[in-house]
Amino acid sequence: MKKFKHINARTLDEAVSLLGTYKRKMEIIAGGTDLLGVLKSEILPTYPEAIINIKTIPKLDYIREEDGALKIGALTTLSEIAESSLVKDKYTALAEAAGRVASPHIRWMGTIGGNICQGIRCWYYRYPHHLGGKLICRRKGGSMCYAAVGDNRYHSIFGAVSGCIAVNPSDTAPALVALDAKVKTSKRTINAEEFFTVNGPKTTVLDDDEIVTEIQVPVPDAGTESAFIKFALRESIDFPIINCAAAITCAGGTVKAAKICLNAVYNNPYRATVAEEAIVGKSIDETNAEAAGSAAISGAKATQNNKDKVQIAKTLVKRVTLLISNSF
Amino acid sequence: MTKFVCPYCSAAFTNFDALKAHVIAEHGEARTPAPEGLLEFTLNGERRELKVEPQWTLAYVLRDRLELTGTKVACDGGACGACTVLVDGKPTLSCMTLAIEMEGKDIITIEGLSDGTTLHPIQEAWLEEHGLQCGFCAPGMIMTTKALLDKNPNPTEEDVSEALSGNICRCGNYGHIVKSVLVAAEKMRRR
Amino acid sequence: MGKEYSVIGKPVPLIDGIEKVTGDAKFYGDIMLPGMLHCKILRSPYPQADILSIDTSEAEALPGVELVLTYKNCPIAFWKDLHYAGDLVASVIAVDEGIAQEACDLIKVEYNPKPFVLDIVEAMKPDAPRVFPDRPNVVPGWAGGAPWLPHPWFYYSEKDPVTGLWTKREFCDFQGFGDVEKGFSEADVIVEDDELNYAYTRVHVMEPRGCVAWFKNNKLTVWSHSQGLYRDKETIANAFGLPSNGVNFISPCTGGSFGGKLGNWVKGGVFGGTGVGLIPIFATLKLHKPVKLVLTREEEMLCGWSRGSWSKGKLGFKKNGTLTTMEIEHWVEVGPDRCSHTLGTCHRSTGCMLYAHNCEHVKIKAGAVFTNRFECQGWKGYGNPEATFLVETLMDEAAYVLGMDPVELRRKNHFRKGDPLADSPMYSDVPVNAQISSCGLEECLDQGSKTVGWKQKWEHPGGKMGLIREGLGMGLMVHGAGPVTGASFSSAEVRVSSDAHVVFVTAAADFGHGQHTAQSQIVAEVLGIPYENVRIVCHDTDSTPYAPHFHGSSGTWQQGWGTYEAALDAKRQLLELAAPKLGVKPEELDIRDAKIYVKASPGKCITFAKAFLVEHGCNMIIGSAGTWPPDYRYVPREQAAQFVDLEVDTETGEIKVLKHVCAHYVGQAINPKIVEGQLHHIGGVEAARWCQCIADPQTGRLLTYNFENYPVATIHCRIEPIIVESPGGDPSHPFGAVACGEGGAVPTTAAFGNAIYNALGIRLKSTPFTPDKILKALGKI
Repeated sequence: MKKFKHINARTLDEAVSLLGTYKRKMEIIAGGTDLLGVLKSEILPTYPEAIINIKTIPKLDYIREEDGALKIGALTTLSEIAESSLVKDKYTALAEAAGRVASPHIRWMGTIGGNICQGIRCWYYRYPHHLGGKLICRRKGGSMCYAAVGDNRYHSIFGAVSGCIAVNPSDTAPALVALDAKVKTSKRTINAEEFFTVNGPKTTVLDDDEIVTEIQVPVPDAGTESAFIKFALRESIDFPIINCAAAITCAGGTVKAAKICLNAVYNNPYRATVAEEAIVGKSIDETNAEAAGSAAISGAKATQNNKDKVQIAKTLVKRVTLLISNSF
Repeated sequence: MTKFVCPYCSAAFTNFDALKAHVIAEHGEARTPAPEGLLEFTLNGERRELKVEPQWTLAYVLRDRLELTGTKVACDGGACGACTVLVDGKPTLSCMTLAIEMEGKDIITIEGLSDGTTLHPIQEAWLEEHGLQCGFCAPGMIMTTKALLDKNPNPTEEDVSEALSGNICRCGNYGHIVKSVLVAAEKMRRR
Repeated sequence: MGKEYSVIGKPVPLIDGIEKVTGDAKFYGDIMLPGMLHCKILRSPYPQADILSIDTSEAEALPGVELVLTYKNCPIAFWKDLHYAGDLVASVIAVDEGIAQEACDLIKVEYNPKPFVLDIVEAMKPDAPRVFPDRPNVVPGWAGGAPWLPHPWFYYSEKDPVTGLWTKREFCDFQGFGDVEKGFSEADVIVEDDELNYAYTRVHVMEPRGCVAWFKNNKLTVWSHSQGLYRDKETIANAFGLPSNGVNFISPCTGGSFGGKLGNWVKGGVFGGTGVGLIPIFATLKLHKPVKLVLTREEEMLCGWSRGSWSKGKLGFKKNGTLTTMEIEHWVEVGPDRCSHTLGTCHRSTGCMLYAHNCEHVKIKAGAVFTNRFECQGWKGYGNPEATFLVETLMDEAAYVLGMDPVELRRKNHFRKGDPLADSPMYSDVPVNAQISSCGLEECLDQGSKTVGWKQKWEHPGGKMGLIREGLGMGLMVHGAGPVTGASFSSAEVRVSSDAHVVFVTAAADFGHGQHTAQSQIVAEVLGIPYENVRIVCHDTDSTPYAPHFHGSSGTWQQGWGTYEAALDAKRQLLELAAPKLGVKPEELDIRDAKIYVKASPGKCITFAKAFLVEHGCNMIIGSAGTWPPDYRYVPREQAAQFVDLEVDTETGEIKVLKHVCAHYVGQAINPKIVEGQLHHIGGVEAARWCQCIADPQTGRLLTYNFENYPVATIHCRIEPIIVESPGGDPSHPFGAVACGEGGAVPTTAAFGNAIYNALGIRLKSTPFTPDKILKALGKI
């Protein structure tokens, strides 16, 4: 890696003020498993002057339930979340999602804050500089989305955002959207869905000087169950080809409320509201689940190379719905 | 009146003991920052001090600076586990870790597992069950196994597969590797 | 079974195991030398281009930079014409990797990008852009088609009517024998298929390639990975015009090679290869300082591609399933390398070998096709997996047409011991009338099918309707198991001390296949001493006698005679010393448990120390040998059958493997644990399920540049190994061993494809069998 300055932030305020000082010439490091890949491959047009380590900020590592919500510190590792019996019991989709991220090592090292802020995995975007030069794609300020005209088998099935067809690769993001979570930052608290809803070449709405500090998940209403399914080629290491999380509230065999979210299908986690509408007020059976699956992909705009993702997305929505109905 | 100011959050106290109590309570993990670039940590049970550059990975420092070349770098991207070492007991990808962030950490590498005369039970099992072929993945596999068995002394075959699912062996020796872990677990339980 | 052995056939631990489990073992990348310099490579942004100008002055001026190499000053490693995105443009040698990398960015290059071709079928079209302007993309595999091809093709034209063995072969534009037109006209059933495509896949090494080189005191020392220390040393000496004793090649450990690291010291040779190893050597010869190059994983991913075939075939059968006729056309992608050598094995899966028993007419036309897809290098299977994919798919199709169980169809047609060989066009010194020395295919079929539950579970796919459908498939394979050329000349030295401990000196490379262990077992067995009494010296060429470069999973066979004869030589000397002391002739003696005893009365024995006590005093016995295998008329062949039981999810196209068995004939297993390890091989599974070369159609850049985009097999991918032995093993090896290892790679894609057909009734003709292809075949997308 090329040289950079490394600063251990001792407090949140210090980190925020450093971010202000260095403007965009600084990167935050927590688990480091995403950032170091970016730096080693020199994929971006600019290289940071400084890396600010937030792992040295105390007390950002916790899982607790208080004030009607599950609160998870941003530095909590993914394995801690996956193994927490509290999360597993009541916030199942989140525990399962955290437990399916990459590999055990990455889950020991990677944090929930990092997982929701991670960059995209588009193979053009990540093309290593030392293999003939980085690709300055649309997302990096170039004129062309290489994926749009190239091999886009793993890219968006719901069209481009600002000309880029990359997808959000986070496993935990759809779980947080389905569970109606909030993301607390150094300056505000944002609904998870809104947190990920960006139009530009970013994966979150965070400002340059803003740091995620906490994830808050409201205690689910009585009769709520949630689940997460990931589809990838391998059982470990892989980023999702598609994943899907859902939280469904039932009473007397009827769905009262549902939140279903797909990811790795679009620039943002993709909330399948049409699918939700398709099952609310109904019982969950094979037919209704199938209908929800079909509804979820209405409006899909697959490319020549990724029609399979549409079929898989449809199946995942159906299966996650049926999976939840089995846990009631 | 002399003020005792917290170096981390600028809170002021009237006496040193109050400041100390505050630091322990509020900034428990924070330590006095080392002089610029001088890193202090425990490596295989020994205290080490070393000047590092910020961009150096832990794998680089172990191999190229400390000549502990048992730790291997194969993918240099966090996708193969060959560079696994234990940091405070957790299996850590040393190629995806900045050495400068290892201040105060307790690091164990493959070289720290045996004392030069007696093999660790995991190493014994690896030898007996042919847990290795070319041997390039073995240090990472063995360190990941150590972390698993320290936490779960009685793993099932599925537990083993899950724990080692981030470690790649390109010889494909996975059948022998799983057996080696199970035999190692048995050896460790017997001791 | 065969003879009673005390060390052979025992699962002793690896002789270098302790070093490897403690982290003490030194791979080339672990070599750190004082004042060592580091290399970084500037690579081509274009898949096809000429360098118009190159300015290295700024890079050279950067503090810490010692040397910049380009085609101008180092034509041995760099060319002005570039043929893949990532091809070598220049290299910077500097005091550390960071500076070298920074300097690479300061090199100014002006390119003339040219049209390129990334697809084998496209490349074969007459108007396709040429990879090399001076020659067509299509290279016929036969004599005269390509002067740089090393192997002429043969037509076996005459047979001895009594023995049935071939007696004459002639140069021809195809490989084979008989008259296929006659064969098809007389056939009851004809099966044909085309457009079978085995994806371009990559060798799976853990350790990235590279080397450390140091020219000092007029002597070049090179530390690197190796499959044959002497071959590498000689190639380097030749390349740089150094005397053979002016180079010491050191290779204590190799982090996997599988054939893929063979071509490191040549650029554009017939065996393929990157030539990257030439860079640090060239630099140290100039600078006289140690120079290190270790490729990054991404660079490593540019190297070692092969397969990428496009093929069609036609089989003719009698009603009872007898395979009489076979015609095949087969093209393999060789990237921009002249690695057409792999074609030499494409006929193994045909009537020339695998189905030699009944097949009377065979015609194979095969050739290589250049594309701009990365560095090509033959590896595990070496041309055979792609041809076997074709033949074993056709055999499966035939079984359904004939209404036969696929296993029974194989049983009827596979070769038997003593069948003639008609598969060795590469090696002109194979006697025309060579025979196959042993056959274990029947047992492979028996044990493999039993383990997978074939008889109980296999059924026609017609009635399978569920969401999840189970299918069984299998594939058979044969591969070379003992190359009959200079590559099987081997030598060794065995130093015996009076305490019955031995130092075994050999240049035999061990690149993960346990060869140091297996050969040490042979030494211990011959000398009648415990395995623990053997130490091995093996790490460089200066201190060891010649060993061939191992390939085709044949190391045990290739080195076997040299080791055996050297140990036997030591034993002979020892018994001669002992004989007078026991009052008998040497031939009346033998050794067991480190004691020399009289065979007729085993109680009468002495220790080695006693035998060593002679008038002049004997301190050491040195046994040595340099030898070829004694008899080439009997040629061993590697044989295996794979069985797959899997489920297909018809909604997602996902495959779940329920059981995957590899039953492999090995003659006699020298070390069953090592053999099992060889059968665990995952290259075939990856190729069947996930792995393929993906290049960007617009820029020609490699998109599968890491273990994320090229999803290598994890621990969840497991193969059940079955070792099949025969009484006494194979007669061509001193302890009956046959090569083993390729069987894990060769028939896998066919077995998976056949199992998918058995589950769905749909034939997938292009690997890997990814969810998108399955969903498409099912009509879901």
